[in-house]
Amino acid sequence: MNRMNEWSDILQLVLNATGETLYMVVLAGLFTLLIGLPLGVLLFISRRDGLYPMPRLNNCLGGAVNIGRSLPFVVMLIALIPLTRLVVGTTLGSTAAVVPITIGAFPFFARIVENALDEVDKGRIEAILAMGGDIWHVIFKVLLPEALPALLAGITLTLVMLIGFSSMAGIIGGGGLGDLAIRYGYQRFNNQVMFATVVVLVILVQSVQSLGDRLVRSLAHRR
Amino acid sequence: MIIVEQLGKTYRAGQAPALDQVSLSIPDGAIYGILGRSGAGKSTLLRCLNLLERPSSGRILLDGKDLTALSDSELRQQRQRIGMIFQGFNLLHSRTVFDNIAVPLEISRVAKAQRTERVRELLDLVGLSDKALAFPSQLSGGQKQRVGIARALAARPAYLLSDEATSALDPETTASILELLRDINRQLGLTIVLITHELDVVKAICDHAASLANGRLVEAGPIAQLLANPQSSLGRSLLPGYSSTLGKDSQTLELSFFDNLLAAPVLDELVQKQGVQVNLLASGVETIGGRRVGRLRVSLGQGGGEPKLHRVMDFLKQRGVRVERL
Repeated sequence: MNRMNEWSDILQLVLNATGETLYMVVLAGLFTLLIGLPLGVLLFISRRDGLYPMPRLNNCLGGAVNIGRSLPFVVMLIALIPLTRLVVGTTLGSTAAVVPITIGAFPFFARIVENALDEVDKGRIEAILAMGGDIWHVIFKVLLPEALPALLAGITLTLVMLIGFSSMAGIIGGGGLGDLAIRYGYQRFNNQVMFATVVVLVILVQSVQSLGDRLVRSLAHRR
Repeated sequence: MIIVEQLGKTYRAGQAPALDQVSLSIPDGAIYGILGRSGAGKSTLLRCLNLLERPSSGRILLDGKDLTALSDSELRQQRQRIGMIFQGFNLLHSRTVFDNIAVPLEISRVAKAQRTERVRELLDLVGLSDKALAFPSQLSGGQKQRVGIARALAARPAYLLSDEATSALDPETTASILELLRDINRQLGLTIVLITHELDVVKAICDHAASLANGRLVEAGPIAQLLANPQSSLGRSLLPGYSSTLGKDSQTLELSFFDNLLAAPVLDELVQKQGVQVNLLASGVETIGGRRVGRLRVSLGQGGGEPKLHRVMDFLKQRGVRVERL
């Protein structure tokens, strides 16, 4: 118990937890991108006045996304335990936590994508259609490239949110910095570990945000 | 050749139609100007020509093919033959000038080497070879429209639609863009259909004109015919302008002379042979649709009454002068 107070041990703990947090954020981020990006595009083009109107599908997807976004993440975390067991085989550990984190984040990201695409000047889409382009040309030559700065800003926002989600996953034993804060800071009143956790989280969020901002700015400069 | 037959467009049932029974034919090689106030339906008409807007009724025949009856992929094929330029340029901001011009070539799957060669040609044509690697945001309005034109021409279309392409530009830039369009028309034999609310644009480069009001076609035809027809109000509006605040009386006539007649001593003969006094009130000379046109407002002075006036008008009409009584 005493040894816990030594900084080198705390460092080891925090390092491991940071690794787990990064693992969850990167993996869940990847899945969020893979699911959310196409879903956002689909939401945008299937609108009633969209490029490929499918109002029925749009309503269903929109409704599902709204349900996903209206549940507080803590509730979703617990409600999704059976699904997690089905997919990963266990409900403990960082890999298992990726399932609820992804499901909590991709509806949000899909809406961000939809809004970013909506900001693209309609005239540019029309120009591609007028020269004989099809919907794939519109998506890959206009929508995604023209919305790239907004999409990057959205990815930054989502990553920061994922860091928050991954910390909450500590509640169900998902590992990472949140888990550390609960087990040492909350249950054992270990202020040093608590403090270190806060510092690492702040640094993590700040660096993601400033990296994202810098990317967006360098892109905007070019255009 | 584009033939528009009985075209109608209603956006919402019960509302006044945006286009109402419009029929036109646009001959190959023409520069066809469609005039109208905003809301007259000219933009809708232009956008129907490549089916960006689907008409509610009527047909559009492009070289005999009815666009409204084509499948999606056939329509895309046809659209590659119709370039379009826009008031807002609509360039892709994520791409350089070079890559913007290459877009239609990418769509029609032209191989990279040929693409590069074609884009170089077009940059040269529009005078922007030094801006190949610039991004649209680094260009002036006139330069952006040149890129727009180069892009529209990339796939070697037979037709070019211009949607108020010069309306966002200053007068000098407008003149240089119009000159470019005329050069393209002459060099490439491209048929150009343009819509505008500016008479000057039509005067400067068009050889055909049509006017729309409230979704209906008011007049259409070759500008030479419109100008020569005293009944044509479109023709009248295209005549050279001058400040017409000068007074008029019962003996005031407005005379328009075309081409060679400008150099003929018509007024001289009027004074000498007919013994009529002629006072010049105002005049203007312009080149309109490739013809030199002079317009005079004259007063015949007091005395002589109606018989004299009719004698003078008959004489002038006989000599080929367009005469209007004010």
